[in-house]
Amino acid sequence: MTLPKRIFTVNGKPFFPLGGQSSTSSAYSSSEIEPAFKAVNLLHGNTLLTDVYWEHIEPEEGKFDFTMVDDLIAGARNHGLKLILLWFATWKNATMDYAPDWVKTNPDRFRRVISPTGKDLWTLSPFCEANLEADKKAFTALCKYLKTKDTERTVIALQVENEPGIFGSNRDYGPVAQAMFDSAVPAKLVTALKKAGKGQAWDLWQQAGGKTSGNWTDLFGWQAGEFFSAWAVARYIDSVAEAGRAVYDIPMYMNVWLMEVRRGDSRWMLPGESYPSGGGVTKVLDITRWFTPHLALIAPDIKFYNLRAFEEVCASYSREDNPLFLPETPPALSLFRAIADYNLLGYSRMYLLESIVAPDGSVRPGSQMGVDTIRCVASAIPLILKYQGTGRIYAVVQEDDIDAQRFDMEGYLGVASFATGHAPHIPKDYRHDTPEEAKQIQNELERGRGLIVQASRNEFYLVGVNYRVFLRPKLSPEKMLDATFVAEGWLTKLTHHLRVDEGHFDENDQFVVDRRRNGDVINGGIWVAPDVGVVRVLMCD
Amino acid sequence: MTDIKRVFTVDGHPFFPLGGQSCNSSGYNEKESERAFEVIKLLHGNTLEIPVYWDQVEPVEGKYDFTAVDALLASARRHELKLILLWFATWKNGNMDYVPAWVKTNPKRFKRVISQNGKDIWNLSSHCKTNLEADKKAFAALCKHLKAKDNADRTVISLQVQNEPGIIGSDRDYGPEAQAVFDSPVPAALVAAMKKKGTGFVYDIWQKAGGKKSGGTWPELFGWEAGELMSAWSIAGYIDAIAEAGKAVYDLPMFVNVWMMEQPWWSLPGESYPSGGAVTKALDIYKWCAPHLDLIAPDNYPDDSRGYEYNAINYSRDDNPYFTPESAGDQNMFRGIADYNLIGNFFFGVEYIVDENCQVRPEYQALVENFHCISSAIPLLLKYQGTGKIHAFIQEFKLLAQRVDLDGWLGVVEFGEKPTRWAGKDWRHNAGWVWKEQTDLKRGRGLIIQAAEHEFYLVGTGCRVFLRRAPTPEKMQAPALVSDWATKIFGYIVSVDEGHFDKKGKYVADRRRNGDEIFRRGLWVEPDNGVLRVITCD
Repeated sequence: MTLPKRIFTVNGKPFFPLGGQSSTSSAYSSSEIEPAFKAVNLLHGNTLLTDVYWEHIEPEEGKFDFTMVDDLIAGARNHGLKLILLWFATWKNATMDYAPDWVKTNPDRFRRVISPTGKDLWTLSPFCEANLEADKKAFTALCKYLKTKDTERTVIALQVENEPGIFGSNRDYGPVAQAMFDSAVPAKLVTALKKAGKGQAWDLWQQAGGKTSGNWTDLFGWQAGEFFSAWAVARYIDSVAEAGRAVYDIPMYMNVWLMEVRRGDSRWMLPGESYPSGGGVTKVLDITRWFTPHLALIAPDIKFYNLRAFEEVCASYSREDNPLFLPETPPALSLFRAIADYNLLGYSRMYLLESIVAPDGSVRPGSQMGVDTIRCVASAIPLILKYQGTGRIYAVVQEDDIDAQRFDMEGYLGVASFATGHAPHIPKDYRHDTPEEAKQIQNELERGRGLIVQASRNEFYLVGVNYRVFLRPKLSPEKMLDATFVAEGWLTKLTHHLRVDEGHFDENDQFVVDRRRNGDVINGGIWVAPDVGVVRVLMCD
Repeated sequence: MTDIKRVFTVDGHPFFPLGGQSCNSSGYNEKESERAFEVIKLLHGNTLEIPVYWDQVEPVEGKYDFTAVDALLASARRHELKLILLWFATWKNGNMDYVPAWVKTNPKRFKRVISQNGKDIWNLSSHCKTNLEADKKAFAALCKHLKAKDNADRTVISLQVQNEPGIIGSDRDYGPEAQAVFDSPVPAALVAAMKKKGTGFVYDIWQKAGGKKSGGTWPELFGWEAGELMSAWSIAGYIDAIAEAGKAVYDLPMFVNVWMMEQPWWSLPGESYPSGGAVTKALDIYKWCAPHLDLIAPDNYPDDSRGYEYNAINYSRDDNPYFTPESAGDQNMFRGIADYNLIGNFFFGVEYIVDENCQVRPEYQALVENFHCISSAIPLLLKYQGTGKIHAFIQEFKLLAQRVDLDGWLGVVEFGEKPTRWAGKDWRHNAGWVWKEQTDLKRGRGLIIQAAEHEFYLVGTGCRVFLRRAPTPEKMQAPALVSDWATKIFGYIVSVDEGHFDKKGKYVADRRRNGDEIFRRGLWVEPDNGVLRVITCD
């Protein structure tokens, strides 16, 4: 594991953006956006992700109105939050819904993608220079405005477009695009594929024959349309980002509507049907990355809870040239694993953010689980920034059907137990034993989750919900496995707690003790809860 | 394509043993075992695993009584089931509970394991020749009896030699004989085998401890793990000698099972699991030192899918077919069959499945369904395992659908009830929308077997399978086709039949499905449909 490359900073220091993304109509006015700010405060977050709409800031060509951006910045400062602004322009979920009217109504000048049957699609073509120039001009105006107005750096990053790509076709079948599709694949792409020598794009190229020259179909066969679109979309967005950064150099990234199955309606995993063709999905991520040097990262929008699928995506998107950032993801259990095992740089909760605020301003009960999860991460941010990539952070995740999780740590074995103190099973025989209750999937509210950080051999920090940690020193077999110690009393005989404190980190990242624990409350293991903050455990030999 | 070594056969044909294991005390007499036999029938199984106890068959040294074995043979034949007998002798779950009284009460002659602090442990020492000779003699007598009584019928298809062997209470024997071995050089054959393999758990432990060349003692070569690996080596040799003696008399397939080290808590040898069993890290030693065992079988209990698959990966290898004599009998079995070429599966403690009236308890209904599904598919398993044509689907946590790549087709398995279309309004009007939690009992699971490009077989429950021709981009991308109707347009179905396989392995259609029952609903299957056969065309 390597140390993460920190993209997000505040006052020159590494920053872990944590919060939520507003709904996609909330940024039109300051009254609409207010609940989103409140929600991030309730989440114990530090950052709101919200939108800037091209149609809103450039209602007439060349005339810009940044009132809304001013309101967003003022609102963020009021709530003590940072902002990441999402540029909804050429693409929003593969459509051009947020392009201004003067773009939408002039298809002769702002050409659209043409489907295989010759019909226009509701997507601007990445092969039309007029589209790119118009988008670039507006984005540059936004960057220029931010540079002048946001001297406090409330806006820490920009997302360029939103889930770009094409719906309804795997590629543009219009004449300009068709001519390029039938021309030779750019040498730069072939060179990059050769140099990579592995990866999904390379595999698919090899499966199609691995030719080094020829048109897109010659080289990529069935996948050609999607590869072609990915190349075109990446270059288009990179060009927009390049123009923006020339004016105002802040971190920029793009996000991805993933190809992996999410719900029944995207089940076929087909480009242009199940997900937008041309986005930086897993199989074309290499291509997207090679052609976006002005983007800091490509961020996957993970919207599912299944643990394996979640981690597979983390593994694909967390790479040396691409740190992992999750701008639109539910507060799933796997969030902790993304932090511990995949050097997650930041996280924003997706979907109906505003709805977590109840009418009286408190957390709506149905949203408590997500709030608890994010609160635990918030308490641990100084530890995350310090220890990610060192192998000292362990994710506690109560997966399906497990009662405990074991950790092999420096000098200690650790066990996170998820059982809630049920009586030990003492079997008699089948006539006299009540059969175990059929196991129901535990309610997610009750699932154990969190982080264990071993700062040094005898210094541990814990955050989380619904687990207890037992630590046991690793000794020689003669001591560790001595039958006289291997009994219910071993914990007191082998495990030496020096002290256990509940506390928090102050603004200088120093641990401040709020409460001491001892006696009965530590003998049953070290337990955690979102409202106790960080539990520090000091051990001795 | 993997060549599967079918260890179990009946009448010279490959056989897929499926069923359960009785509780530990059910093999003592006919009356006690009857319920176990009945439950195997309810499970749609073909085989019962049941113990034979050393303390029962040799109550007095050298005097054998095989009445209980004869009763088991008679009952199995009456129920038309096969038997796998479990030899409970020197070891049962890391202790010596089943050795005869004349062994238990004579520790001078039948030496026990000595722990770190010099105390006796309730465990016969594998370093004591007398123990080995006594066990071997009794086991050979059992084999001789079986040969005489069952050679023609072959009701007993296999023998398990010991049960979850190893030591609980210590990582190794600290008695003088064992200590002398511990301080002597590790046998050259073992070092040579590690070197030759150059990979694996044992090799890694050796390398981690410094990778010293031959000539070193156990702690010199294996460090912290020395005690456990010496125990594994010693016990593997002990069990192999017993199997060898048995096979010399009656050549049946023999195996040993494993109490796994993958325990959720400390996972320490001699405490969390018996030290010296063929656990993951010691499996290589057993494969090298126990050539007379046909396979080493993990008691693969974890019901979390990662835990189960971790074990399946480690125990399904070219030199070790994957067989689970004890399991939880849950949905993971489907993956074991499709992805790890499982050659037989048993649920432990079959008596628990039914209530006092011999009715399946509701909490075990899902398990019975699993066995019912697998049982219907056995001819397909024997034919297609290892060919890549069998695909498992399992509704894992929060998984609503699973995509399956088939030959020339895409497959999608949807789980649970038909999902309502997601129609978002705004955050004010969608608040409180939550995922519905599924319960274990309703989890979708099963197998898709693609026998040929246009011939599919399905068994399972809680699922709908949609098939779609793997399309060319132009054909597929026409927006007119990209809609709910896709499955109807792309999946040309010739026929859908519910049926079963007859004794000769031929598919027999029992019922035809068409019209509303297949239109846009996908191909659904439940255990009582038997095997669904779907024929498609272009």
